[in-house]
Amino acid sequence: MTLHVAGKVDEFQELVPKFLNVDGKSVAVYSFKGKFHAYENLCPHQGGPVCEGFTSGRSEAKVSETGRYLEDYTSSTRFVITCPWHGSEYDLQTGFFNDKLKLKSFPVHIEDELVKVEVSSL
Amino acid sequence: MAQGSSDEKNRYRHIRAGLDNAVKQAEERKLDELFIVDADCHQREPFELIARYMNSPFREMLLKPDEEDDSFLSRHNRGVDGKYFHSKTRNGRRIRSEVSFPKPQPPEELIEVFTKRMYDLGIKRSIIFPTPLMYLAMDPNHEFEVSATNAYIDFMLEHFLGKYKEMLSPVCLPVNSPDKAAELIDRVGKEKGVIGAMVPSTSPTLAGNKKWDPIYEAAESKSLTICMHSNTYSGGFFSDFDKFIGLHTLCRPVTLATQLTSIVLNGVPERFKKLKFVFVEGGVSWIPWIMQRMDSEYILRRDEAPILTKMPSDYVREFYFTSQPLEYANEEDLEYAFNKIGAENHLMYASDYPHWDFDVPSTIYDLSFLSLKAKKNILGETAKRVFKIN
Repeated sequence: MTLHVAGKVDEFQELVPKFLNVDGKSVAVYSFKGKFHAYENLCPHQGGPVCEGFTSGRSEAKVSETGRYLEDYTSSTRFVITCPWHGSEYDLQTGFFNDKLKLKSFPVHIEDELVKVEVSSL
Repeated sequence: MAQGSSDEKNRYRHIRAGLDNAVKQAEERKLDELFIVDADCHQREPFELIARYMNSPFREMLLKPDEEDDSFLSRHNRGVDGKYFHSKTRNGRRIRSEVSFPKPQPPEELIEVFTKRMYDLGIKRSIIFPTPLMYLAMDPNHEFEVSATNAYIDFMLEHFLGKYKEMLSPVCLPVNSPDKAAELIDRVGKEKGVIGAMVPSTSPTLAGNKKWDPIYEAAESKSLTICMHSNTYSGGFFSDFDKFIGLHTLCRPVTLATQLTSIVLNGVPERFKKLKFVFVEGGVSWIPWIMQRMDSEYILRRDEAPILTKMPSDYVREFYFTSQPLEYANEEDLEYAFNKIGAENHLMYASDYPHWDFDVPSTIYDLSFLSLKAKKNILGETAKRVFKIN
């Protein structure tokens, strides 16, 4: 197991990634709601630098209690990373577009106020 | 947080996405060793410069543009809610700003951008199409269409074609004036760098109509391939879409399918046997559908298409298609479409760069069901053969 330091905990700004270079490959680490998430900066769609794109509230559909579709809205609790090449978007907390299209994720450990990413292989 | 505020800029300061990853892809796959032809990429033509080649009154109209009234250039290019709609996310944030170049560029900048991008991605030749000009056929002012298409090719010949071997282009035709289109082909069809004749997928008269015959006669006489380029056409029933995703799902393949159906069932390939057709920017998934659809109708109503000597789908298999926007959400379906159209010898890679749904060469190179020979053909050898590229 190899741990790579991404920075101090208090250096992270919510939704703004910090980038690591691991063996020539780019890894992005996000802070969101007190947790950290690390993804390979490579879009599974066409290989774009996905983590260099916007993070924003996910577009959601508002549905009534009876199941009637009301309108679309932008979520303030669920966020997505949007690839700057084509707009493919991935859930910030899971890395998923769906179960087939998803970012490669890595475990994150907090040790001595340092954010460390466990990168076994890329 | 308001877009453009200092906080917002700080938040997005890491965004600098260019094509670096595509450069890496090209290096890893040694794409530079292949002869890659980009069969469809674009410029956003600088109309103020092109206007200098136009006659009055259009020259004066374009040299004094009113930003609030560019309707005759782009009124059919608005999507469903206005300018540049498709380049924004739902929240209104513009993405892809460093990948695309949405503003018109002067020739010297365009040459720099194009050649850098080509060398980065391993592309040896680029076939350049215009952007707003492709909607000219739907403009009711046909004299403007004639003037603008003549001016555009003069602009291209002065700055690009025949001067840079990497840059090629079809001559855009004023399809509402077929005799004028034929004159244009006669005038520039043999110029260096002119590799085909572009017609749009949206036109008041469909491409199989006999009114188009002068165009086909002229193109055949100059051995120019007809490049039928799709449009994001938001007229007709497409205007009912309230979101771009629905419009864009259908408008490009459906308008191409409409023109292809007109061409096939009116016997254009029978009447102009040496003429080649390339259908540009519709992806591939629509082609098996229209082949089967036409064949089924032909069995019921052959009497309306007596000029045909074989099944409609047999003509389609003689046509060529560009790959972008490639539908790779399901590779099994994609393989089926490739097999139906004989992709190994009839499909050409296209990037559509710098438009928002561009494809990099790896979209073809990485397909697991293709042989290396098929990849080479699709990435460039077929275009090299069809367009007679040296």
